[in-house]
Amino acid sequence: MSKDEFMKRVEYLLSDLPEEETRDALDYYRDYLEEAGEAAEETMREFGSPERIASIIRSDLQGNLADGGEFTDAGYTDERFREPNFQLARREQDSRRKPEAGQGAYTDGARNPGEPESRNRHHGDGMYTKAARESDTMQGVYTDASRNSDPGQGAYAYGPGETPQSEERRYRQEGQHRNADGYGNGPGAGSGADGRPGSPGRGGSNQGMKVLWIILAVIGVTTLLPALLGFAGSAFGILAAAAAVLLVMLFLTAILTLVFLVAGVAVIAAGIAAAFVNPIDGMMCVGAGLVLLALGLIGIVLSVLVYGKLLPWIFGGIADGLGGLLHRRRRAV
Amino acid sequence: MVFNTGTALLDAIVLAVVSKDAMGTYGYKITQDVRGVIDVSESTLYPVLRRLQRDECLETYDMAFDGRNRRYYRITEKGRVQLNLYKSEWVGYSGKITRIFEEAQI
Repeated sequence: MSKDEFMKRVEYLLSDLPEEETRDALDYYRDYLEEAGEAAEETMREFGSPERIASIIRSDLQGNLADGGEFTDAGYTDERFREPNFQLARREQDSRRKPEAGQGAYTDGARNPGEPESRNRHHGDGMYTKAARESDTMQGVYTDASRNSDPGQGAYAYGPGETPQSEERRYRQEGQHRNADGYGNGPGAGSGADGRPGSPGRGGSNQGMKVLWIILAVIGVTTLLPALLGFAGSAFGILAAAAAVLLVMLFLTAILTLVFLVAGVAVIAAGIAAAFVNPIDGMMCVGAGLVLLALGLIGIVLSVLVYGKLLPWIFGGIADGLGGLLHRRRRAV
Repeated sequence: MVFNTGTALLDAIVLAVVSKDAMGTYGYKITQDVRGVIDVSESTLYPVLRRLQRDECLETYDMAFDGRNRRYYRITEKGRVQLNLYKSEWVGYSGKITRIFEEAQI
């Protein structure tokens, strides 16, 4: 490649930038090759490739040289411009992760693949770069984040020596971040606004119904419970009373039967004894005794009926009822 | 060189090289002169010159040479002040470093 071709290529690669901005730089390198004269061939080899020179110019114009590289005893050293193949490999690695941010138009085909000498030298230079930056106070301290040289990665920290352009660029990036945030929040807020009107209405009606039901249930229970309780209580009372009366009657029947029988026997005995002194009085006593005895016998019959038949019938009925309930429950289960 | 050169020292060297010629000097010659002192890449002195120019330490003018324009770089008054500062800093710094090496037991 002749030096004319070389510079033509650089010029072409920068053709998207205003000519008045690139003219100085193009003149510098053109003059440089011109001055090199016979050594132009070697100089071009050291330049690396037109792409590399174009990238240096572009970065300088865009004011992000300060972000990307350092000035060392090897001149300006920048990872991006270190070595065509180095850069290419790096770019291929990075290409999946982030977009190239206008760092010169690298075209793989036009790249000169083999410059072993300059590559070695550049790697040698690279050894100093980090320490050089650390000792550099005049130019402002660039952090590693800013040195990373990938615009769009954020996390820029500028030293006091930052240029107006770089500052502007940072603002632009902040703007982009803000935009990104805006887009991020936008849809979320929208969906929130959309989602709200529907569901709360449905939920409200459901809740209203529930509340109504609860109110009705409370009212019903509070009004009916006393009546129900009264009803149940009185029913229970009646049943209990009936049972008590029955028990008392049964008890009294048994007592009276016993009393009648004993009294009947005693009165008959007394009547027979009295009949010897006064036959008429004796006969009356025996008659009364027989009546009492008869009443006692009636009591016995009643007791036999009650204890022998009525109570078994009652208990049998209760047992049957309970059995039926249990059976029904079992069937239900 | 195993010792790295920071931006300030590189600026100082370039300013010193340019200041040698009262009439100024041009890019290729500056680069060659600097390369005589430290190992500097031929392509990468342009941003340094641009920066010094932006900081008004250097000024340029064009002069015809061999049928074309040659851009000359000349040190400004501000550049001279800056160079003087660098020089005094360097004298103090390098003196101390030299002394410690002279005292060193090798």
